[in-house]
Amino acid sequence: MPVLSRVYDFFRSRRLAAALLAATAVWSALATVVPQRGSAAARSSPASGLAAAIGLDHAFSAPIFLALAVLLMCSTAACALERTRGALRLWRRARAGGPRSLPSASNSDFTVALGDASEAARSVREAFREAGLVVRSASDEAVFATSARFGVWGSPVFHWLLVLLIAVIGAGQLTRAEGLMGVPVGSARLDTRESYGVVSEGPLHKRFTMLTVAVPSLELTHVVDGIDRGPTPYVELYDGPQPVASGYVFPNHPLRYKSLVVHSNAVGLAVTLTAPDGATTDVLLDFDEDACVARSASVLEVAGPDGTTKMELSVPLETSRGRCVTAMPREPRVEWTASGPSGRSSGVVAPGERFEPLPGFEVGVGSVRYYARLSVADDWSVYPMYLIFALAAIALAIALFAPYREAAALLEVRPGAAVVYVRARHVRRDPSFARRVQGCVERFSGIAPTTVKRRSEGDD
Amino acid sequence: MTTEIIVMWIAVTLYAVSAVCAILGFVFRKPALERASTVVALAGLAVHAVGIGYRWVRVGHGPFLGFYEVVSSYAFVGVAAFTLLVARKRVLQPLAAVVMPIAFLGLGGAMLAPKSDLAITGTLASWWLAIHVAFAKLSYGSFITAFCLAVLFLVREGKTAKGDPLLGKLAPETLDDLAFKFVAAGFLFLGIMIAAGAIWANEAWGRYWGWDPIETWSLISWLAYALVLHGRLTLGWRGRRFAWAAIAALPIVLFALVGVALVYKSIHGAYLIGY
Repeated sequence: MPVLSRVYDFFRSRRLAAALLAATAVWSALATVVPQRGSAAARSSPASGLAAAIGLDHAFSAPIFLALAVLLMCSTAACALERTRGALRLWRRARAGGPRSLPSASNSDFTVALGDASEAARSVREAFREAGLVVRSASDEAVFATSARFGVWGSPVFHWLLVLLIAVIGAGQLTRAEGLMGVPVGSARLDTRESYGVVSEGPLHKRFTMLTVAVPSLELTHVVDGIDRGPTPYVELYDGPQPVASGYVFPNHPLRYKSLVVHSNAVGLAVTLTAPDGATTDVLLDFDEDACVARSASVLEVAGPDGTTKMELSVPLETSRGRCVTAMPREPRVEWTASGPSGRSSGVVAPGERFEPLPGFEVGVGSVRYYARLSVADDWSVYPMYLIFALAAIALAIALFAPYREAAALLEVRPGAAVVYVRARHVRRDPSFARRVQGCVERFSGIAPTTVKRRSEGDD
Repeated sequence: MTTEIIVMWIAVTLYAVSAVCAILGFVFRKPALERASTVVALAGLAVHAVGIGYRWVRVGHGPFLGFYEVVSSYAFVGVAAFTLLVARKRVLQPLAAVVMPIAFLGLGGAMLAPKSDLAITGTLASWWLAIHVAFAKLSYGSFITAFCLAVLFLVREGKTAKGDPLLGKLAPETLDDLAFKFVAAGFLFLGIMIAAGAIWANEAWGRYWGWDPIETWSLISWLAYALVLHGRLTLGWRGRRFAWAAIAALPIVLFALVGVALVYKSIHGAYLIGY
């Protein structure tokens, strides 16, 4: 399979990994100086031609970024595979601890000549323990010691978990749905696409949960642990007639049911209008503190025989000591403006009164009450991601702070002396480890070992 | 002036004295001055701890909010890490010549910033705040220490230093190894900090990642240090090259910590500048 092999070699390149890390960092940094689509900054100063052409104005969904993420995942996977092979090799050798691990005169790191074999073996055992290793096997001919053997798995597991993390994040983005749902207090909405004012769905999102989201009450101040959590709706979730979850929803206290998470985004006012045929609709008004008014976020359209009439509603808010009070006025008044084929008209009405936005079409104002804007996210990937984060942190800690190390000594009995050949290996090829083992051997034997000049790194 | 401010200015003064002793000791190779620097730094640290503790009790939360609290606590963590390191390895005393001027400038700069009390809001009221901030301090403290060790490595490297009462005992390999360990620890802590922040964001706002400038710059910092570690572990960046990499990566982290909140309008601005 020369093609597969070439692809594998390409992705396991250490230079490629470094280049991808650098490129992702540079792209992300550039993205923070280019106004992103949909942001307030982009509306006042849109991105320049080149930035927009390469997708920097929607940097984190642009093809370049997605390509970098995929390449980084492939590179990490290739690296993980390579490390897994190495770890398996080390694991088998560490468990066997047999002759394959033993050094020879040609591939040892250092040698030392000691009195007799048993004395030499004892000194070497003590030296290996001093170097932080556990002696796995020892005799008068050979000593083999390693650090904790799980250390071989730290780096490969960390790399595999990174791959999994990128894959889970990607899959979660493709299958999640998230939207803002306005629910007037005392009413309920079904979790379907139509119930959301704003909704974003991943291309592979299958269906909404069809759960009922109800807001029976709302508290303007909700104090928990001495801290006011602000306007707080009480939210109930129903699966058909069956209640499945309920509770107050405020920052750091969402309502959860399976993969559905409900947060409170904001509150506003809801005006119930009744059409001449008796049909009712709730118009949601958001607080505008600067203008001290609650105004409809979207324009209502009423179809008449001569065309469409557009209608907007607002409720003036009260002030206290010169500051706008973003709450329900004591006596709410609804200001309406309508513009369409029959011209422009406007007026002010109170709950219970009626108005005529276009000739012959009389609308009744039922009530003015609060509404809760809920952020509803259906994302299965969040908890698996937390688990992967936790496992990756443990694996990284092992890779960095408990790396696998081993040391092996071969004792050769010669007339008058036992020559000890010692080889020390560090999974990261840290040369200071061999020096440390050498120092320990010197301390326990009282004789300075002779460093062996290695032909090349390949001697390992 | 309130008691808290007086105490903090005393800490600034002690850090300044410690920095001067450390620099003079380093330049003129006077171990006695270096030792004095460490002792004065320890005294400054104790006074600084009193100042932080006093404010903590008064405002009812840890040093999490506003430039003054955040930068002052980083200076504290930096000096604490340095004194712990010197307690374990006396030979690292010359590190004071790099650490103490940074701590002095950090705390001195913090003292010039507004010190108004910022209350814990509903969004901030979470256990994740403590976890996120604790790992941020551990992470940035580790990176700053690695930076200082790398600077010292570059000063020490290539010199025989025979007979030098300060540098003679400092093996470049030790500095290189310690710098690597601090970068590795910082990288791990930074990853946990980012993960804790993401979990907290999901609890508070309903999304774990929003590409907010500070989130993006945290990721950039993580990628930068991933590159530094990757270079060390797979591309053989040891010694001088690794030292330069550890030095070059720190400004990215500092920008993520301080610069982003000042340059960008961000939902994270509250923690540093209080809007």
